This record gives sequence, structure tokens and C-alpha cells, in this order.
Amino acid sequence: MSDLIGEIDSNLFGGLNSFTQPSSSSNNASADFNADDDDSSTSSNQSAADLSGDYESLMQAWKNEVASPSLLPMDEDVVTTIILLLKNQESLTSRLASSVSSPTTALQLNLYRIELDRTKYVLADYLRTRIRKIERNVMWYLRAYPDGYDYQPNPDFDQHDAESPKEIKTMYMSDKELKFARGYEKLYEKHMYTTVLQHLPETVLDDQPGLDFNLRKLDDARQNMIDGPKEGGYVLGRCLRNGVEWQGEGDWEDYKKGNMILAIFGDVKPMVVNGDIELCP
Amino acid sequence: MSSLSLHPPSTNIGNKDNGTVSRYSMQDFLSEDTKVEIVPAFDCPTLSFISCDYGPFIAGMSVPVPLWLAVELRKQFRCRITPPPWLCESYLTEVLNYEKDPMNETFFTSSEHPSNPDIQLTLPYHYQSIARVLIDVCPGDIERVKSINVILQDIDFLRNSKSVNILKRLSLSMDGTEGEEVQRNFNMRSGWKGMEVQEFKGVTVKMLEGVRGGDGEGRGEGRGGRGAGNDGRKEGRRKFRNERRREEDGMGGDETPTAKPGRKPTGTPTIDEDGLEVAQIEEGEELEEPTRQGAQRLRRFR
Repeated sequence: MSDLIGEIDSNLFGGLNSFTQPSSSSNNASADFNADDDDSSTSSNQSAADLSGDYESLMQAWKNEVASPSLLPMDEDVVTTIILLLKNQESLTSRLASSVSSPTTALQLNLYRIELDRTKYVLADYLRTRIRKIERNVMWYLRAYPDGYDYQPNPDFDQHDAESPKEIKTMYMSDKELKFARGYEKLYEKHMYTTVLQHLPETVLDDQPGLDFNLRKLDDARQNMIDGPKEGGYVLGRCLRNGVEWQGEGDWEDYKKGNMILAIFGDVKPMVVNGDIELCP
Repeated sequence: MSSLSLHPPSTNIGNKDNGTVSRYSMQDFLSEDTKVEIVPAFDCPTLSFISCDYGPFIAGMSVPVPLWLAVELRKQFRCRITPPPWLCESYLTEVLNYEKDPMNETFFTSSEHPSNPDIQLTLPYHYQSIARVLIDVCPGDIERVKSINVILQDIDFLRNSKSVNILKRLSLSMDGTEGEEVQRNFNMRSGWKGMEVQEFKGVTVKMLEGVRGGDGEGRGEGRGGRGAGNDGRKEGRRKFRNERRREEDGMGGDETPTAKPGRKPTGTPTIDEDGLEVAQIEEGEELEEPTRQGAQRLRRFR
């Protein structure tokens, strides 16, 4: 089992691990690299300035994910962009490291490395938190989102408009997470079979005929054996903008930005997903 | 290099009970993205980070940077940190006076800038973490740092006892329909900041789950979505109320100790609260205000 987890881990974090071996091309480029060179600094400036919103999104997603009891939708674009930015920054740092000439360069290097560590930590903890949740309720998630997506009927569906989709698609598990979940489920079922299920009688006869069920199956519908994530628990959250309308039961007044919210997670989940509320870890 | 590698933030999902303040926590980590002004003592071109670009750094020119960067530079004596406007003695004294006043049930929200009345000053969400880091790293950059430190500790103390009172009231009223009301009051009024969330989140959540009748009812709620969750909540409340009534009846006749085990399944901090309340009614003593309300409600239920 640990092999598989290791493999999936290295798939998920492969991007991160490979940073430590900079490509040969970047080594070659280091010869004529100068920290104060205008060209190089402007090009990297641009990429960072364009994409700085992704860092905020990642922090937000991390906070929500850590505080929520069940898996939240994943924005794969953010994760891919952050991995790209990390790679970019790592190669910049390694180029700097090979040409430390002045105290200023050493300082720059030091600061870049600290930020790399911080961002890597956030990304890794975000992904690991998700994996931990998937592991806990792997069978439930695979039945709720068989292909990693959640499909909800579109309320604004227009029959005559060919553009409008019938269902709204939300990604809950990325391809890699889905692959991990499937592998983990197989191992889990095998483990349960060898330790417990094979010692049980094959079928149990109920009082009424035709209702006998299979004790050796983990996902027998009538036994309700698959636990879902507990969305009925309370969470603490904070309003991110003024005038958030309460979508749960009861006539709740509108909230102001910064107000604390104590509510059942199932009630506020849609507001967390669309970014009106953030959860407090 | 940074303090991060030595003390990873605690992000353990299930375990939020330990309210230790001295530990490096996730709140501290998050607070380090707050912007502060520094006056660098070195020259350096713009630094392009993943999060944002900072700089250029010109000696003597003040520039905003995230807290972690400021702290790192300050540790190397490469800059001076300009303390944020709320970290001054006069403003914090105002906050302290507000929190001290027994008439103020809510937390301090905002007030005017001590020198410029046009600016509304609010305490930032992570103000405890920020203040502690700044006082640790650069006591020399802050005016009258010792007295500020004392005031901050007093404010923390007052806010903590206020939080405990809020929780008490919440727990006493969660059994009836007024629970919704109190919860809303909590939502609207409590200005919890990062540290309070860290300290009280675990106990609040557990308390409310216990009132709902936490033993196993949450099972499979995820499947039914929101509707099932609400059913579970109502069910829990009804159960809790019935139990209370049973207890009252038991008390009305002769004193039966059998009522005690009956309450066991709720298994929450509220029991202490509640047990206290019951004992007080029994002895016919003068009741405190919230307790009297609770007793009236009980009578109404009968």
C-alpha cells in the first residue's frame, strides 16, 4: 500500500521534487546571467505580475480546505499555475546560486528561497489535506463523483439556446487524485476482505424473502456501510464581502464584511464554494 | 533560515482543542502575509516573488512588504520596521477601555486614527500574531514597547473572558427555538480574531454538536445534503428538550438520581453548564440572569 501512496505522492508532487535538479539548459544560461540584467528581471516580473492572483487563490483554497470537513471543489488551473511559477522561480534561484557575486545577490537568493519554501509548504499541505480526506471516505467519494466531477442541473437552462449547458460541472477530484482514490479503494477492499469479510457467511437471510443481503460486499446498498463526510458539523467562517445573502433556513439578516459566521457546514457550503465566505482554520 | 522550517504550522484537522498560545500555529503562518512598511538600509532592485513583486529597495525609502520578509530583513539588521498605526499606546489604550467597560458586550470594532480623525482604524484579523512577532523581533522600532505589551496582554485577557461569556450564553439557549436567535447574535456581534478562533473554535463546535445530539446522528448526513443535516439538528434539539423535561419531572417528585445517567449521551461541555443550572433550581437559590431565562423556558415547555 505504501508503495502506491508513494507513487501517487511522487506523481502529485513530482513537479516539486524535480525542482531540485535544474535542467541543463538553465545551467548553460547561468554563464551569462546577471542579477541586475534588465532583460531577465523584466521577463520574470511580467509572469509574476500577471499571475499573482493565483497565490491568493491558493491561500484561500488552502484555508477553506483545512477547515472544511468534506472535500471542496478544486481549481486545477490554480494548482498548475502555482507549480509552473514554482518551477520558474526554482530555476531562477539556481541560476542565482551558481553566480553569487555580491552580498546583494546572496540576500536575494536567501529571500527567494524562503518564499519558495513557504509556497511549497502551502501547496503540499493543500494537496495532502485533500488526500487525507479522500483516504478517509474513499468509497463514498468514488460513488458521489465517479469521474471526479459533480453534476448539478443548471437553473438557467434554456432549451432554445444551444450554448447553455444542461448541467453545471464542478471538479471535485483531479485526474491524479481520482487515480489515487481508485488505487486506494482497491487496496482497501482487498484488505477488508482478507482481514474480515472472508470469515463472514456469504449471505444473511432476512425475515422477508428476497431481501437477503451479501455480508461480504462493502457497498451493499441496504446495509448503508459507506460513511460519507460529516457535513452536519458546525464551522466558523468569515464574510468576505458586504451583503452576503443567507441561503440557509430562517430569515437571516445580511452580513457585513468581516462578520463571523457560525453555521452548519452543509448550509454554508455553496457560499464557501462561490467565494462569499471563507472558513477559519 | 526562517522560523517556518523549525515549527511547521499545526494543520491537524481533527485536533483543535489545545489552546496553547506560545506555539507557532497556522494563524501565525497566515498572519505573515500581512503587509507592513519597512525602511530598508540597503539598495536592491525589485524582487519578483511568486506572490507579488516587492521593491525596489532604496536605502531610506519606505516600502511595503509582507511581514515574513520584513522579519527576515530585520533579523539581518537590513531594515527598520515601521510599526502599523494600530500598534501604538494611545490607540490600544482606547481598545482596552472599550473592552473593560462592562456595558460593552461586543468586541471592539473600529475607531478613529489617533492623529488623523478621518481614518477609521480597525484591528487586523491577525493582530495578536502580528503584534507578538513585531514585539519579539524589533522591540526597538516600537515606541513604549513595554507598556504596549502589557496593554495587549490585558486586552487578550478581557477578550478571552468575554468569549467565554458568549459561549456560556450560547450553550444555555441552544436547546430551544431561541438558539437560532442567539446564533445569529453570535454571528453578527462577535468580532473574533485569529487567536480567539484558534482557542475557542474546537470547544464551540463540539458544544454545538453535542446539543444537537452528537452520538451517531451525523452519520450519513453527507449523503442527504443539507436537508438531512437540518433534520438531524431538529431531531437533536427535540431529544435535548425531552431530556430536560424528564429531568424537571424527576425533580418535581422526590429526588431521583436516575436522571443523571439519562443525560449522559449528549456527552458535551454543555452538561456542566446544565448540571449547574439544575442544581441551582433545586436549591431554590437566587438565579443568575441567563439561568432564570432558561428556567422560564422550561416552564413554557411544560
